[in-house]
Parts: sequence; structure tokens; C-alpha cells
Amino acid sequence: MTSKLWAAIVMRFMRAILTIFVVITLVFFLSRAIGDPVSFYAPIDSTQEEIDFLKNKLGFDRPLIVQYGDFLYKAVQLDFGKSFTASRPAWDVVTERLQATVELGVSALIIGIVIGVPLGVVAAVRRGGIVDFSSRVIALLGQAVPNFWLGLILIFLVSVKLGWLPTGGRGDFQQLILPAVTLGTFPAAAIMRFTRSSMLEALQQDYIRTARSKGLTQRVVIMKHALRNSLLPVVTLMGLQVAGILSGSIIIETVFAWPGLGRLIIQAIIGTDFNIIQAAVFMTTIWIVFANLIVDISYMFLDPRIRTGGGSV
Amino acid sequence: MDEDRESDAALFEKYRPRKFHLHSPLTLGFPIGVMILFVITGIFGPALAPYDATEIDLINRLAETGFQANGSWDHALGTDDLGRDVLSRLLNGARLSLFIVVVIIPLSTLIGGLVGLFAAWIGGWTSRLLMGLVDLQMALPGILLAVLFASIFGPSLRNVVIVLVIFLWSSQARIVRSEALALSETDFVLAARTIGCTDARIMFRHILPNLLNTIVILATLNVATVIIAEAGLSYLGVGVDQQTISWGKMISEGRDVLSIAWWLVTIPGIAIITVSLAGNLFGDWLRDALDPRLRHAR
Repeated sequence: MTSKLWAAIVMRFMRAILTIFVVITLVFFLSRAIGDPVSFYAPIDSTQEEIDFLKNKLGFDRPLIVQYGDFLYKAVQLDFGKSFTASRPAWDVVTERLQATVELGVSALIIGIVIGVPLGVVAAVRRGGIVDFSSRVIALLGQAVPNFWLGLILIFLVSVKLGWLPTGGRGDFQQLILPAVTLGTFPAAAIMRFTRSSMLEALQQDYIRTARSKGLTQRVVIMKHALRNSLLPVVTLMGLQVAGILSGSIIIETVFAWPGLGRLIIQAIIGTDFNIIQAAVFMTTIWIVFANLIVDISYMFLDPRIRTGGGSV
Repeated sequence: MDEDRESDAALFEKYRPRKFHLHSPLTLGFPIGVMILFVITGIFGPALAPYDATEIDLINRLAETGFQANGSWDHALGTDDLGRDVLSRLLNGARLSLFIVVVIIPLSTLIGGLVGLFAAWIGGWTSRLLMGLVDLQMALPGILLAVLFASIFGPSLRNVVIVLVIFLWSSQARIVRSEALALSETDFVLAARTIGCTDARIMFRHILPNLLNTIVILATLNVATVIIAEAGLSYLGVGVDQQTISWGKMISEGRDVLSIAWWLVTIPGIAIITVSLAGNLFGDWLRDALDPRLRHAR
């Protein structure tokens, strides 16, 4: 690896850190705008004196900048204070719920890959055929259907009418199926379309003709040469899907009452539980930034033009 | 073994660009037809609605649609939990969706396109700063921002517009910038430079027209995104305010009675799907029609 590449990677990494920093700053100040934090600690019938006392004791009367600095200092130590509603360290609550969201997200991604990649490959190899046509139609539909609506319809058909699967919550494997399938349809459609076009491009390359002229069978040609080369961009696509899955999970978790991070954030915002909001957004941001970082760095390896960054006309 | 080695002629036949089934006149007609219908409904719909969309009529609540056994054609698409006519609400929702599309897409396209173009032109650290802003954007899920906004300012149409424009401009900017950079390294730009064109002239007279294709395609494909996004926000309760009727809100209102009145959720969903599908089909067609490079890769 050249030193130029190293420099670019380090720059990219620094940008990632900066992004996280700016995001939690934004959230800190924005959530303060929602309401007054003291109101959570003070019982309803407190007098002004009692409120002031609490304010002082908890440090809410300090200048906002000081509170912010304190927040940052504690944040790097992963101390986000206690959740108002759960009376436990906010970070602990967040990490618990993170497991649920990861479970859901990974399942959705797996479903997306398992459905998307084979369909994409077959669609490309047998271009114009029935698989190609029907999977493109399904992919088109997949990107036009609101996923929360799909979730509700699935609940209605599969849970209510057929009684095959439960309607929500988390526990057995059965409760994972519907939410994962719902969350996975959009990635499946995107991955399928991308695999297909990537594969099509790969199949038209010269090295495929070379492989064929060497006398290799069709199957070997496809699996060994075309597939491997077309999969690399697909892998980077999956990295991009992570952010989409995380934000998609916010709404899917609400539909299926899945106790994940997304739902936690919504509930925390509605309940103005600052510490949870801050901790949860910190967690979410880290994941998304990290995923984007990986994608960008792998692009750097692939495309020399981007390595130098910030080009101009 | 011999069957696996296809002749050159067979390969040629296999990979020559085909006429795509998905792009025959019929499938172009569908998206255009839907979009025209959408615009007409959005503009005139509320006036044509058979009932007042907010009129509560508890005697007739949860009426079935005209298509179903117990329904009547008085309420062609049934009524909701408060007895409000679904068809009328659907028509009003169309107006909101049309508004969303007509306001947000041009705004975000303009902002995104300008920022992307500017970043490509100026280069250097300004460009990096701008793209850093874009990264920031993408690190915060749009929904989060919307929910936060709604908590501070209360749900409203104005907030939806702001949030969705913020949500959309960044991806536009990124793509415009990288396309502009890619175009700047093509031969015709090199030729223009050789004869002494200034950067600005190159930007506007050579690069921009080629960029317009990409921009328009992106904008069309964003129609579905924007409609679905607004529906999602309204479903969560952080979209439009109480008074306004939105397809997304209709879905969330129907959720509680899903098991006994499934059409309340299904019908607005079908409306959303139809418009989104039309937008995507049209965008795909545009992309295939306008970009000569891609014509052979698909």
C-alpha cells in the first residue's frame, strides 16, 4: 500500500470521527430544545425553590456550554447517565436493545442476500427469460411498497387470518420471521438489481470470452470468473444497505413491537428521556459511520481516482 | 461437453441488446397514465369527493367497501373508525402527496444539484467540507431527524417538507458531484479546454447538459422515495399535523382495527404503491432511454 493510500484512509477515518462528534453535538442541543431536563427529576408539585435546588444539584443551571463539555467528557467514557424511565445506566439499556436490532438487521440482510444474489445471477445469465422478467417486476414492486404497510399486511394475512406466525414481540425464532422478511424486502430488491447489472457487465468482459475459448464449461465460466468479479461491487452495496436497514428498522420495530434500538429511540423522544436519546443516537451513528467508512475504504482500493479525494474540474 | 461451448453466433444472439418487455408502449403508458391521474386527482380530487373527508358519522363506522358483501356503494371504499368516507379521504390525501412531490423534489434537486456542481467545480477543501456535510447527513437516519423535529416543533407539513428536503439533497449532491468529476475527464472536455474554454464555460455549456439527464432521472426516482417517506413519518405520528389528511396517517389509523377492517390499511397502501411504481417505472425508462452507455449493460 502506498503512503498516499494510507493518508487517504487516515483522512477518511478522521472524517468519520468528526461526523460522529458533530452528530452527537447536534442531538445534545436539539434534545435540550424539546424540554427542560429538570422536569423529570422534580415531582409535579415542587415549589420553585425545590426546582432550583434540584437544578443546582444536578448541574442543569450551569451554562449550556459547560453542560455540553461535561457531556462530551463523559460520553467518551460511555457514561451517558441514567435513563429517566428505566433508572438504569442509559448505555446499558442501549446495548441491550442493540442486540435486538442487530438480530433483526442481520436477519434482514441475510434474507436480502439469499434472495437477491441468486435471483440476480440467474436473471443476468438467462437474460430476457422468465426469471429475469419476474424478478425485475418483483424488485420494482419491492421498491414501491412502503415497508411498514407490507408489515401490516403480512401481519394481517399470516398472523390474523392464517394464524401461522405471531404478530409481534421478540422471543422465539417465529417472532423474528415476519419482521425480518419485511425489513429484508427492500435490500433484496436492491441487491438483486445490482447483482444483475454487475453480473451482466462482468459477463461482457473480454476475460469471459477468453475463458470460454479455453474450453471451460458454461458453469465454470459463470461461477468462477464472472461471479467473483461481479460480487465485489455487490459487497460494497451491502455496506450501504446497513444505514438503510438501521433506519428501516426504526419503523419496522414499531410495527412489530420489536424491542430494538429504533423503537427505543422513538419512545425516548416521545418520553423526552435525554440520556437515552443521546446514548442511542451515539450508538446508531457509530454503526452507520463505521459501515460507510468500510465502504469508502474499499472503494479506495478499487478506484484510484477516489484515493486522492476532493478532485476538481 | 460440446453443448456447453456455445458458438460465436449463439453468444452474439444471446447478448445482443434486447427489446425489454418492461419497456414496451404498454408499460410506458401505465406510469404516464398514473401520473396524469395523480396530478388530476391531487388538484381536483377534494372538490370531487362525495363526502366531507372530516365528517364524523359514528353510525356508519367501519362500513365495508362497495365491492364487499356487506358494503354499499354509498361509501364506495368504506368508512373508517369514525365513519369518515375512505374515498373522500383518499382524494384529499392525494392532494397532500401531490404537494409533497411538487414542492420537495424540485427544491431538493435544485439544492443538491447546485451544491454538487459547485463542489465539483471548486474542488479543494471546500469540496471536502461540502461532502463532509453530506456524510453527516447520511449518518443521521432521516426518521430520527424527523422525530426530533416533530418533538420540538410539533408535527406539521412545514416540518415534513424541511426534513424531507434535507433528507434528499445530500444523495443528489453526491451523485452530481461524482458525475461532474467523471465528465470533466472525458475527451470532449479536454478538447474544450485545449481550445481555451474557461472552467465556468466548460461547466455550464459542456458538463451541465450531460448532467441534466442524471439529475432528471434521479428526481423522477425520488418521487417514490418522497411519497413513501412522508407516509412513514405520518404513520409514526411525526409527519403532518392532526388536521391534514395523509395516506400514511390513514394507514396508522387503520392499524388498530386491522383485523376487522383490513381495507382501511390496504386501500391507502395501494394508492402509495401505484404512484411510487409509476414514478420508478418512468424513471427507469428515462434512464434507459437517455443514457447510451447503460443501454447495452442491461
